[in-house]
Amino acid sequence: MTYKYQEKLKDLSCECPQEDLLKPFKGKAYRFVHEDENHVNNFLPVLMISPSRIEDFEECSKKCIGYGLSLYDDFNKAEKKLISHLNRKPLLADVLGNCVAEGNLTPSDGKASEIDSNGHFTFHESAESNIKVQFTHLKKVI
Amino acid sequence: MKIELKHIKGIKIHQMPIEIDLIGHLIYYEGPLMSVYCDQDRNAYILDWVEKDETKNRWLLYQIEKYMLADYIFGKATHFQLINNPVNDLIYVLDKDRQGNIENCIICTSRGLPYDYLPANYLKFEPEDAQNLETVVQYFDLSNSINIESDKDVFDILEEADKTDEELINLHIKSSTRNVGYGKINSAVLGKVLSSYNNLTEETALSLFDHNGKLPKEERPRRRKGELRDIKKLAGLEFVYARAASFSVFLRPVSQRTNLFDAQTSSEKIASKVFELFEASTSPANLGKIKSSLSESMLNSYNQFLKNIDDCNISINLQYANPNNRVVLKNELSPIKVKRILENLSKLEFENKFEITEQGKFIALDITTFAFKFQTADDDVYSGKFSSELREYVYDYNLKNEYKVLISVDQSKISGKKTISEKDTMLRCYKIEELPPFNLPISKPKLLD
Repeated sequence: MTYKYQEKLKDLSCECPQEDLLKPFKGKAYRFVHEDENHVNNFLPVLMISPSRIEDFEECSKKCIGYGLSLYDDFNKAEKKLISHLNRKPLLADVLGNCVAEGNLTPSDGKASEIDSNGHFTFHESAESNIKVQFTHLKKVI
Repeated sequence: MKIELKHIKGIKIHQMPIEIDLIGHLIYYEGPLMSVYCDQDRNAYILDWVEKDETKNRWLLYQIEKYMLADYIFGKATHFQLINNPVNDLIYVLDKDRQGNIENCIICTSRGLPYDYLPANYLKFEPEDAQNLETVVQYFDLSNSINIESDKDVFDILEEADKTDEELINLHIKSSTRNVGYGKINSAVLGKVLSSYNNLTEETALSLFDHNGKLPKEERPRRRKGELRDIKKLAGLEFVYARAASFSVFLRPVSQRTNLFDAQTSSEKIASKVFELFEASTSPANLGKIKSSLSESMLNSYNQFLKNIDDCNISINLQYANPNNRVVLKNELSPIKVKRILENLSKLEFENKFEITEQGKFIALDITTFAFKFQTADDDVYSGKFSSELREYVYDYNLKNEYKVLISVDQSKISGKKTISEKDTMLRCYKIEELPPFNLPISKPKLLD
């Protein structure tokens, strides 16, 4: 599978993404988004929003994750985490948004990292996909 | 719309005075949001993201005590407490450009931070947000802090008392709000705590040492001038010093009395009684057991002390030590415990019934309801109703003559009510110049007027 931001991925000194750590994903996924549904950053990976932040990531594998999208496999877990982040750092809403959006993903949309205990995973979008149109705003949390 | 970073009141510096190295991340979401750093002396620093504009990210960098870091990681302290208790109360506000270079650096105090930079005051560490947590724990040797009780920062009271060889009382005040920080405290909070604690010890002293106060009023000898003041002096405390670690106040007794046949000093007796009350009041059953040894004013002052703790949203570790006999007393009053005790106190029921002979004049008489108000020579006023036996004679009483009366006083405090209700009933009443023989039985009311 060819992934989005291929030219950036090639510049990294490690294999990105690491295919053996990824799996196809099928089902509902949830993402933190801005209230404005057309916000340019809603479905951009962190390193495409702020390329300079690449220096914040020490290891190459982490830089690679920065070109993936943070998603959750469970709405309640996504909502809980966004509320926690925004209660902890109120102005993070300008970066992450203050809403949770829901979308239906198919294996052709890309591949997902292992889902952690919080329901979080990193999704590397395929070059042909445009998952943005598959997502709709579900809830404004704060 | 152009976003501008918030204005911070502080001192601008051109170069960071410290060099720090990354140890691990406490919050990592699409990059670091809260990280732990160390300086060359292995002191712990937190780098907390707070805001961004088009070109810069703003971070707060502050040094924290290792025990605070341990308390945070092991769930005993909140993020809010960390930000509000930096070492020396200093916070570096760093604006970093896209390359990570520091463009601006302002030094301020935690009180100078905008509210938008502060986490909600209940948020604790969430381990799933962290990266390299084991490295942080190992580097600062925090694992040794796991088994230490939450009051590890409370001073060893006996060690402190040994330094001066004097009895010492320590009030160690903590709070999750900005009222109390590392070595600092809102003066109104400190004033309330010290003043209400002092009232409690004074009332305890009166309850313990005012033997005349326990006698029926008519049998009580006339008080000598300054008698009560001298008893209260036994409970007097003076501020010795304060130390940083939340806010810790050390007090010592101003004066004390030792009975020849009793090894305990008066101040130790007062402290023991106060700590007995702290301990017993957590359980309604235990409070009921000791209530006969407590005076109402002692309970009222305890109630006020607890209310102040509750109002100020603080916790207090209280300690007493006598270095001579190695007696140490300890207790902790947390907001939750204080609420429970206040509830127990409100449920406490009292009943106190006694009869008292007084001399004085009626100041009000109501012949339709058989009610009276009687003022004694000492200006005490009793108001209530005549007993059924006396009612037929009410028409003969007046406001002019002086009377000797026997009044039944029934004091009670009902569960849930804060005040004591008093019911006075007049049992006997004699005009002064026509007093009956001294040994007249009091069971049968008799009017001689």
